[in-house]
Amino acid sequence: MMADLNGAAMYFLVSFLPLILLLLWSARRIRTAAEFYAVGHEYSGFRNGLAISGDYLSAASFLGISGLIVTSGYAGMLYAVGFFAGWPLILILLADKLRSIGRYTLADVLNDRFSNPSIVLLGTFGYFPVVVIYLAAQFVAMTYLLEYLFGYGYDSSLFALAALALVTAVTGHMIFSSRAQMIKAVLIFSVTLLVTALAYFSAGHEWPALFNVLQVTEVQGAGGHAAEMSLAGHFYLTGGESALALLSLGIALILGPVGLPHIMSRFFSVSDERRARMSVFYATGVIGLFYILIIVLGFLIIARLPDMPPQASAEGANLAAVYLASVVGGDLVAGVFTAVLMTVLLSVMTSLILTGSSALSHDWYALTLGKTRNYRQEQRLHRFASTISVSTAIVIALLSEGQNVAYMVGLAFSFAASVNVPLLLGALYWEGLTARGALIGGWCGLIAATAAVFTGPMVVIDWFGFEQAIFPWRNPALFSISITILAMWYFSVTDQTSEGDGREDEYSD
Amino acid sequence: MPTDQRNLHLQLLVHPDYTALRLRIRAYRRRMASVVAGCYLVFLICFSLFPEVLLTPVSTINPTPWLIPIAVFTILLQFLVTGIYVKTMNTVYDEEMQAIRRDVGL
Repeated sequence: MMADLNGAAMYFLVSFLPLILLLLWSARRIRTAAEFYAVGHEYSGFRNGLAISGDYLSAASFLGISGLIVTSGYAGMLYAVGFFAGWPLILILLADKLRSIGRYTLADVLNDRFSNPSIVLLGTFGYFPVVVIYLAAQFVAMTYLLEYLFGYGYDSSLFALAALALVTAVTGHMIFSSRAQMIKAVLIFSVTLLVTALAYFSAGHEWPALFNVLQVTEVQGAGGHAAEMSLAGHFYLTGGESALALLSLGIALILGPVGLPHIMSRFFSVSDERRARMSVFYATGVIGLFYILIIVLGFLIIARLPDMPPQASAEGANLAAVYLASVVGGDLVAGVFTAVLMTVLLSVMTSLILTGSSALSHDWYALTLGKTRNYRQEQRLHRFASTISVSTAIVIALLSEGQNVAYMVGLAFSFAASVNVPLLLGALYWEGLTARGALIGGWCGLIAATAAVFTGPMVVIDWFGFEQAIFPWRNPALFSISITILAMWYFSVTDQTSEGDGREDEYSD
Repeated sequence: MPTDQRNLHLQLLVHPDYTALRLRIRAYRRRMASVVAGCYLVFLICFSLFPEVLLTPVSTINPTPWLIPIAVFTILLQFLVTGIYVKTMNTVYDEEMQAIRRDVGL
């Protein structure tokens, strides 16, 4: 069933090197925000749209969602629909609004609205778990790819990646440009389309039979993952989660991206608004098609691989799509496929390390200290923040062996939805929000989300092996967002100080 | 910003048509955001609370459960809403904003 590992690894190495060189060649080494916002000015709406897609399309989500459809059935589809649904909301609620007030990051908005360093620092702390868990998800995905290709153990592969990430953290610049992101989008879309087409046409499937998982399972009978699939139709729709837990997950998936305004950064890097909006329209088409492809691919894996390798379930099904690629395309397709995925994962990893640490070193330090800032001190803080982010992410990845990476991305989104989204939307749209309400509400949400995760199933059951968790849901967004909003409202309406009455008028439309 | 530009900009801010247009754009944004969030919430509530309904086959001939076309439709609908939003902003509201800006000499 599995490909000849040496063959796939050879094709991987042959493809990986040119891909990395291509990305390095196409990218510019960006050191300042001004350089970043200048790089896309000459692009058309379509090309900039492709670059935006490259920012958003994630190999971790791709591997995770296709694997979740295999292990949890239709429940995996919630991720595909949810990850996409946040995208139009970003455009409508944030993009034009941020552009009209000339502020591009969460810290910018909070600083501009409240002029309170404590709130900017809260935004930085809110961003930290998002970056760290998202980074850990990239590590888990890359570790499994290395393990699959070269046969090293999980820990050894992870430590090799950790060394690379720490070097990036200490020395790296953001290797990042519209052209590099365009190439990234084309690569990941092309290989996904190729594997889907190969799997579909090589078996001569018909659409109705393909999507009827329960029927397919009956035909295949028990054995391998098919035994899990045939448990019950209800499990197959809900993945074994309660209705409230699914609602919580669904809310994290749609709101999470809204709390990451930097993913819209390329919206600001073209010169006029019409072209910027058109580029988002094209990006939406590419991203939507990509998620539909992932859904089809997930069901093709079930249909084509009734006998998944025994280790697949222990791997969180993260490699299900890779196993499919090796079956339908042999070593060549598996090698090229993994090379593209690894390139995209590495690119996301470097971006996360550098943008995450700049949230502390630039956004908070530079914004709050203003003219008194010291460049060398800022650089030291940047390296310190990078190292802390990477180290924490490695520890999480080490403990998260066997976790599905789409689930981990969903968890990162729950922090963004619990802290960043209420702060950002509150600052932009709620005139009555005061600095006190924002500060206390944000901290309440951050503490609630952190406590729910540490007492929830991932930590209590998966990490430490207890039978039952204190907090029942795997994704706490519904719980923590409710606390954030309630606290923001209560501490704003009972605020007797004039603090926070700074710039409400400018933010009122 | 040069003083002349600043004065023109201040004129723009107090222009009655500009204020009215800002209010209309705000209402439009909220409407479209509600449509996007509403569609997804309907999908999410059906998914979470009424899973058995979504597992029903589309027809006796076609065993595909309703969930599949509904999920794909939700994605396509979000794309359509994005398209309508972009077209309206680019052709209707931008044109009106440009006309007001020309009116004050910006």
